[in-house]
Amino acid sequence: MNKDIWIIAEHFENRVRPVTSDLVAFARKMGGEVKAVILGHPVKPLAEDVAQKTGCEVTGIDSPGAAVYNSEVYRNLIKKLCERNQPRYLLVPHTPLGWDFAPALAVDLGYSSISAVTDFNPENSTFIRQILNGKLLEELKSPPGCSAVVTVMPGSANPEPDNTRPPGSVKILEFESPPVKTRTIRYLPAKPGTVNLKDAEVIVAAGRGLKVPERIELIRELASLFKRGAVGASRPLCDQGWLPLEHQVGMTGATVSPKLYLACGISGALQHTMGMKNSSLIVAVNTDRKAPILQVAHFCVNTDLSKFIPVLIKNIRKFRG
Amino acid sequence: MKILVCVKQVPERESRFRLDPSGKGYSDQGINFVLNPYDEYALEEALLIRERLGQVEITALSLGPARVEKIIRRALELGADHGAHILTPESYYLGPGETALQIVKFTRERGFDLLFFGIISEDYMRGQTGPMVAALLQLPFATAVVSETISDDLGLITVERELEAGAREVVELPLPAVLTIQSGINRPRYPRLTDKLRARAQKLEVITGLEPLPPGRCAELLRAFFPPPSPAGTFITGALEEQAEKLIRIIREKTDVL
Repeated sequence: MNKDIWIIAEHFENRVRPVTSDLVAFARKMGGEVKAVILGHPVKPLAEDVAQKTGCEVTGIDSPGAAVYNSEVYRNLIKKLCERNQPRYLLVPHTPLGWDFAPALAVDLGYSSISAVTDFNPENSTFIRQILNGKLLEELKSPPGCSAVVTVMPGSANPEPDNTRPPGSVKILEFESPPVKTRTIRYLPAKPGTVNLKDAEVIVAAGRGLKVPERIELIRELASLFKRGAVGASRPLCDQGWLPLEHQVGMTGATVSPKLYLACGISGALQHTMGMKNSSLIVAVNTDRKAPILQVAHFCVNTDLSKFIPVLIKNIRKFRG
Repeated sequence: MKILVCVKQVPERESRFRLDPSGKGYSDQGINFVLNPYDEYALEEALLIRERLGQVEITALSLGPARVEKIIRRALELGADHGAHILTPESYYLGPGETALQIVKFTRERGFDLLFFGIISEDYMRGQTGPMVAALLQLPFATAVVSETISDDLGLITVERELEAGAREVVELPLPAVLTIQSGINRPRYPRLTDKLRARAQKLEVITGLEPLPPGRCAELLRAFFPPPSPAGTFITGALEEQAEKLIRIIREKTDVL
C-alpha cells in the first residue's frame, strides 16, 4: 500500500460534475499525493477535463460498460485498478452514485468503509462525520495498514478555482465490459417543475416543526409577500406528503442561495443545510435553541412559528402599506 | 416469495442526547426508541408486494440488545409474518461491517428472494449495511429505490432509483436482490387491532452469538462529541411584535427584498 489518495471523479451527461473539485480539495487538505480516477466511454475527453480543471494526475478507465453509471461495472473496474496499485484512501462523493457503490466496493476490496464525512483531522488521520441528524459528531479512523473507501459530503472543502494549477497528466486504460447482473435501463430527467427555487430571491422553507399540514398556508402566504418568493421544504416534510418533492432543498433536492432564506421549523440536518448554507441571509424560526440549523443561521427567532409568522406577515403588510 | 426486511431501533427524532461513559456514542438512558422511520417505508413496500402478489412471506429482522424486541413486535403489528432478533450485548457498538456479517449469516439456507433495508438509519446515517450485505452475498442491489415492479415470472425486479434534483434512473435486477428503500416511496400504514393482538402473542426467533469479524478491516470509532456552539447566530429577542419588527429591520439592512 502506498500513501496515495485517489478520488473518483463524477460525471453526468458528458460533463464532469463540480463535486469532483470538492473532492480534490478535500484530498489535498489531507496531504499526500492526490490522483483522480474517472470511468466512462469514451472517457478521454472527461479525463482531460478533470486534469485541466484540477491539475491532478488522471487515470481514465475506458470500458463500454461504463458508458452510463452501473454499480457493478464501477466496483469491478475500480477493484482492478486498486489491485495493481493499492491506494491508502479512495475518496468517493457522497451522492446518489457514490453512496450506491462505495460500501460494496469496500467489501469487495477488503477495505474499511467510512461514509458521509465532512472533515479530516490530519493530526490523528481521523475523519469527522455527523450522526443523529447533526446533534452529535463522531470521529473515526481506518486502522493502520488498512486502506479505506470514504464517501465525502459535497461542500466539505473549498475547491480552488478551475485551471489554477498546470494541467495534470492523463493515462487511459481500456477494459472490456465486465459481466453484470444489474442493468441500467434508462435515465429519467427531472420533470420540469412549476417551483423555481433556483431563481427565487426569498425562500421560505418549512420543516417538520410545522407540526400540522394546515400551517403550510402560513408559509405560502409569507413567501407570497416577496416579489420573487418561493416555498422550500425539508425532505421529511415532503415525505409526509405535505408538499411535493419539487420543493425540496438539500441533498437529492435543490441547491439554492437566495438573498433571504427563512427556515421555519427546520432542525437543519446536513442533508438540508448543504443545499442552502450559501444563502446571503439565513433566519431560523425554531423553538429548539440547540437545533443544528443554528450552525448556519445568522439570526434565530426562538419562538413557536405558528405564533410568530402571523405577526411577521401582519408587520410586513403594515410596512408595505 | 420470501422477503426479509431488516429493521433498526433508533432514538426518537426529538431526543436530547448525552454522551455515554465510553465517550464513543450517546447514552441510551432516558431515550425513547422507535422503529427507524426509513425502515417503515421498506416494510410497507414489502407489505404492498404481499398484497399485490399474495403468497409472500415477510420476515422482520433486527440486531441489538433486549430493548430491540419492541420494534420487531412493531413490525409484526404492521403486518410482518415472522420476527427474528439477533441479540447483542448491552451498550455494544455495532459497525456496519459487523452488522452486515450477522445478517448474511441469518439469510443462509433461508431462500429470501428480496432483502429490504431503509436507505439509512436515522441514528448513524451511514447507508452502508444494505449494499454490504449485497456485496457479501454477491447479489445485485439498488439504493434509494422510489418505485418497484416485479415481473410475472417473479424473476426480475425493475426499480426507479432517485438521483439528484428530481432525476431518476431505471434499473433492472434479477432476483434474489437487495434494495434500500427511499423515504416517500409509499405511505406507511397504521397497525390494525387484530395484528396488534397477534403481534403481542407471537414468538420471536432469537439468535445469540455473533459471527466474529475478520480483524483490521473495519473503521475504528474513536469518540463522539457535540458540535461546537454555533459561531455567529444571533437570537432575536423580545415580545412577538418586537421580534417581527426587529427581523424586518434586519432584512432591510442586509438585503433589498423588502
